[in-house]
Amino acid sequence: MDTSDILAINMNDTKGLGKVMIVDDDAHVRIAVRTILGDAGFTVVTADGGSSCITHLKEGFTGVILLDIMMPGMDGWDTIRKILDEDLYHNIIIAMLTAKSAPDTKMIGLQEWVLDYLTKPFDPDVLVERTTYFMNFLVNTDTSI
Amino acid sequence: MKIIVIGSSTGGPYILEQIFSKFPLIPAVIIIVQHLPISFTQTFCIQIRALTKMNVVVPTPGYVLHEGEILIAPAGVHMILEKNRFIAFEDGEKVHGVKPAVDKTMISLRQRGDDHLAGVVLTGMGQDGAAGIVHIRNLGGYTLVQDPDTAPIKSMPQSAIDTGKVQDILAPPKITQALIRFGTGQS
Repeated sequence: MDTSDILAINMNDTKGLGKVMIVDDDAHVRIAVRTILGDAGFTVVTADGGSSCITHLKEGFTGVILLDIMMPGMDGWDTIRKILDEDLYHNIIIAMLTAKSAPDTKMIGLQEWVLDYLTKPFDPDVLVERTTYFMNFLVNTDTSI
Repeated sequence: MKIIVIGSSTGGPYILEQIFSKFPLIPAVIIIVQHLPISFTQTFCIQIRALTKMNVVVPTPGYVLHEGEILIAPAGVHMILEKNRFIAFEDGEKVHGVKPAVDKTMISLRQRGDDHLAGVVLTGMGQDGAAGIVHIRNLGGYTLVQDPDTAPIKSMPQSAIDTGKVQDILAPPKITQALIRFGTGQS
């Protein structure tokens, strides 16, 4: 976890609505999501790519993951496959947050693991509404099954 | 008996929440095949149950269909219908990269007596549901899909449309109305 993540948690963990990880190589997107969801009361963790996302999960992150697709190195689909390969899919929900209006065929076989697909640019109100929905879905789920 | 099979994938839980919000009790069986991880099946069932007056259950093998119920296909197995009346599970290979596959459930439907069949395909990646729509239409059933413009991922509904066997292309609020009309014998 880097300094910006710790800062994000400290600044934004005001209402305790749950943890969200934004995974995006674009710092502007990470800042926007962190601000919008932080103001809404979520604890926001940032990751600048798939590797950082995996690190957070290994360190025990649970919550909603908003995952970009087009990232250098490990893209969003590679990241999900890594999460599954390393048995890190526990107490998380994954939703794609991407500029790609339509997913590519790399998604085939991963459909069940992606609860939703949101596109950028996003409406802040929609982002908060959907994240709240995902969080409610997660808190009512026993993902140890 | 009126039997509706709804196939849905990524983005579907949120869309289905819109479709079934305040959904009335209708004399039909609605089967939802939603691609989800195993751990989410019960949560999804509970969420749909909270929205509607229909009885919402995750069936087990041998379960007998009753009108007025919504059956949620459990994750990790294909769910098929035997003689349009009983639930069976099939633990075969994934189809279109998923299990349960919408096509498996839809294609298990048969022409039986005065059964009325309907197939619905919502948002999702790939082609799951397209073959099922063809099957249901060929049996004389009613076929509709979510308007791709309203779907987070368009390829599943678009693949169904591309078969030429879809009768209605509707946004979620109108899908609700279409299901009620079908279930109450108004269409």
